[in-house]
Amino acid sequence: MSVAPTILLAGNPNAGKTTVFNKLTGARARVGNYPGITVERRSASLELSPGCFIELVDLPGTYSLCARSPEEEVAAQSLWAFQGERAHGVIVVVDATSFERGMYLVSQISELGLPMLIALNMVDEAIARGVSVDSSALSERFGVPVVPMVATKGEGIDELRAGMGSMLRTRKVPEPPALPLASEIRHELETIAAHLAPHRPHSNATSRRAEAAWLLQTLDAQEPSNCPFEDVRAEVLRIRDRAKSAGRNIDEELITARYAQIEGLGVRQAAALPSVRWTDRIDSVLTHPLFGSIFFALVMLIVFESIYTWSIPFMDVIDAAIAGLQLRLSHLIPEGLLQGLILDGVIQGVGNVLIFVPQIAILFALIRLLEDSGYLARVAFLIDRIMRTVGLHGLAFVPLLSGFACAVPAVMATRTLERERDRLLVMLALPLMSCSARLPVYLLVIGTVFDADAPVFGVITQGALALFSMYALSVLATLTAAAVLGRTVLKGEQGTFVLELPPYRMPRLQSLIPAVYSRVRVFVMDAGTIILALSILMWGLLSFPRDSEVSARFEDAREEASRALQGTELTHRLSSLDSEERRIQTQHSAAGRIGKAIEPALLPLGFDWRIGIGILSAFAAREVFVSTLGVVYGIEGAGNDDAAHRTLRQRLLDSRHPNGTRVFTPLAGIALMVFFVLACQCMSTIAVVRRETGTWKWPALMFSYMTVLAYLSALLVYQIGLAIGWGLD
Amino acid sequence: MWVRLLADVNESHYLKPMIDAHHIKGSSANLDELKPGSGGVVQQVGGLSKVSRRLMEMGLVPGTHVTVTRFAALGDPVELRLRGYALCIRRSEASQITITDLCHHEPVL
Repeated sequence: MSVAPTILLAGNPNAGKTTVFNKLTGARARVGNYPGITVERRSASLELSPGCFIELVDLPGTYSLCARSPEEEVAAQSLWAFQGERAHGVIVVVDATSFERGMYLVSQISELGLPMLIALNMVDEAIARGVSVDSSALSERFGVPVVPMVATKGEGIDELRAGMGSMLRTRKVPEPPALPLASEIRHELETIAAHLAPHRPHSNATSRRAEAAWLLQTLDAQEPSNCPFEDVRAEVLRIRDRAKSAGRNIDEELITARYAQIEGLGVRQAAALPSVRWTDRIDSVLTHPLFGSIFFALVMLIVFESIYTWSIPFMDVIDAAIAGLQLRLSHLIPEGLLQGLILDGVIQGVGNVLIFVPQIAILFALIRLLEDSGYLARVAFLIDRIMRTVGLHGLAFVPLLSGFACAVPAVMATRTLERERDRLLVMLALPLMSCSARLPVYLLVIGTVFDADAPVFGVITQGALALFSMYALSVLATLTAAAVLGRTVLKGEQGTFVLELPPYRMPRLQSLIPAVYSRVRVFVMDAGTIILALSILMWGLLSFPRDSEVSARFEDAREEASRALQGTELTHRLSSLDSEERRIQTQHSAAGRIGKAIEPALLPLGFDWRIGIGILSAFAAREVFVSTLGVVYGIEGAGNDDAAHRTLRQRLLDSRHPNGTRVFTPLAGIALMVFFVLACQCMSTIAVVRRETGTWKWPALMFSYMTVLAYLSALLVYQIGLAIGWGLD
Repeated sequence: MWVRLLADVNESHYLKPMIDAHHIKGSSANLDELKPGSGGVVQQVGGLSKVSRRLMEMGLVPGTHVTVTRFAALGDPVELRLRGYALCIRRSEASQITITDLCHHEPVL
């Protein structure tokens, strides 16, 4: 149980809050350049001076205490602390380049009666733009310490630490200059504050007035939760109605007064019109209707090509390491069930997943670079008009693009959207975005049925083209689903679009590498736990029960062969008998029976019972599909000497239907990939949607519509392919 | 159907006569009618109170100088510059904001 005092870190999105947090704590947290990237409340323990610990809480970025999104609500509620313990102090980070907007939040927070410190960040950028802020005058006017700093370079961090120490010692609350309010609104605030006084015995007059203003702006007549006091509610609603009928705009009166207070400080000096900045020059190209769109398409193409090509050397290394380990252990462990469990269950299962780490790392790194550079916000600007045609907000692009990596963080990233309906819409549609867990499946299938390195149109490889098509299909499906859901289940008004475009910034390796590492770690931990457990389970399901009659029959056949044949002929005969026995035993196993039972439903899609087993196991997590197939085919061919060194791909290619035709035709491969693009095969996504929506209704809807869509689409693809005779071998 | 389509076209950004700030100094216009590079002083922020409140909280209060930097492809949304930063809003929101004392700056680049 920690009793360390709590200090909150507040500020506008992009003010450099997270950088300040990292510099203070040494923790490598996410630093985004997209408004509202800090979705969760993060905190860290910090030793200010020997033996003096504090708890530093990094609040989500917010422009105002009048919250417009769940994220801002988190920040506002932590600062108001109507329920629960109040913090011991607050640091407000202000971006000196947009000083006035940052000071709006400072002005609001300064009235809460919390000890406060202003961290005036990015002073170097401001000076470069001809803007200077007199920090000592600012400190004097607000009665709080002001620390000018350049957080990215670590300048001012020591001063900030010292300031925190003295803030905790003196507990001095700010004394902001009076808000220049008209007498009418001033009187109304006093009236509400008087009603609040008995309910807030420990507050001072300033904080009661601040709460009065906040209630006037945000009180929801239908929702009693933000003010439980009946008399106060009645008074606020009465004043609001009166103002409305008098044609007054209370919002305008309050907000204008606050900006007048800030401008009246006279601490900001701007030189004559600053020259055109490089960030504007970049923007005039990158947000250009034509060049901007071309650039965007190029960036996306590079992303896909790099996943496919750059990762290959790394994958080869991992592949070789796994094979080497298996070979070594096969000499150490005696042949039998234990060897099968370890080599074919454990090592192969995890290995089949580990091999995709390079691709996942590259994808996460690229998304992260786009985010940190500020380009992602431009994409939202460019794409808002198009997103709106399917009922989505331009900002929904960020969770959707994150959906390429993993639906779980993407679902959580929908918190940047302020309206419940927009959030639900994005959440229900985004699992159709092709996440990284599908990548192993695509790569396996593409590598099996296509000549992945053969060039198409001379510029792009066949493999990259097939991969790109799957991603394009997933985008199309997502947008269509959003459009349909938004017109049916989630009918409602379209929201608004208010988005800050942060200046372009050079992404920093210090924040890139740990972020990629943590993503990869999450993936590998999944591989290490869920996937390992499922690999072993699947190996068990595939190995048991055994049919003793079959074993006896093959034992007899082997003995007979030993008598009749010699040399290499005998070896061949024995290994083919082993392989045949395993194939038959697998059909008798629990998994084989389930796969067989559902095969009639899968054959019209071009899948046999083995793929059926893979699909069943993939409902736990998609990437399990690959390791399951590894086990299914590994067991089938493990008795063969040369087959032991064959890759899974070769085994898939060799697999035949009972009538002798190939299972993995290009057509079946495409149907399978289409199924994986569209099916909701991820327990984690379902769990996180349940958590974010608070009900099973939405995850149930998501699971059902996606599964039906996946089945019907794969059916359509395969049947059309059969009808026109394409891709049959 | 055709009538409907033509009506849509007429309302679109491309065919709407745009106000050139040079010629009507001292006059007023809605923010969405300004050309890139033009600006002026905010007179009033209308529209839904939740939206107008946030716009004002972000510094778009009456008396603030604002410049239109550019429109995205298809003429929507619009990028503004005010108080040292860049803000994007949709055309429909911009149309609720009245601007006075129009003036023209040199466009970027």
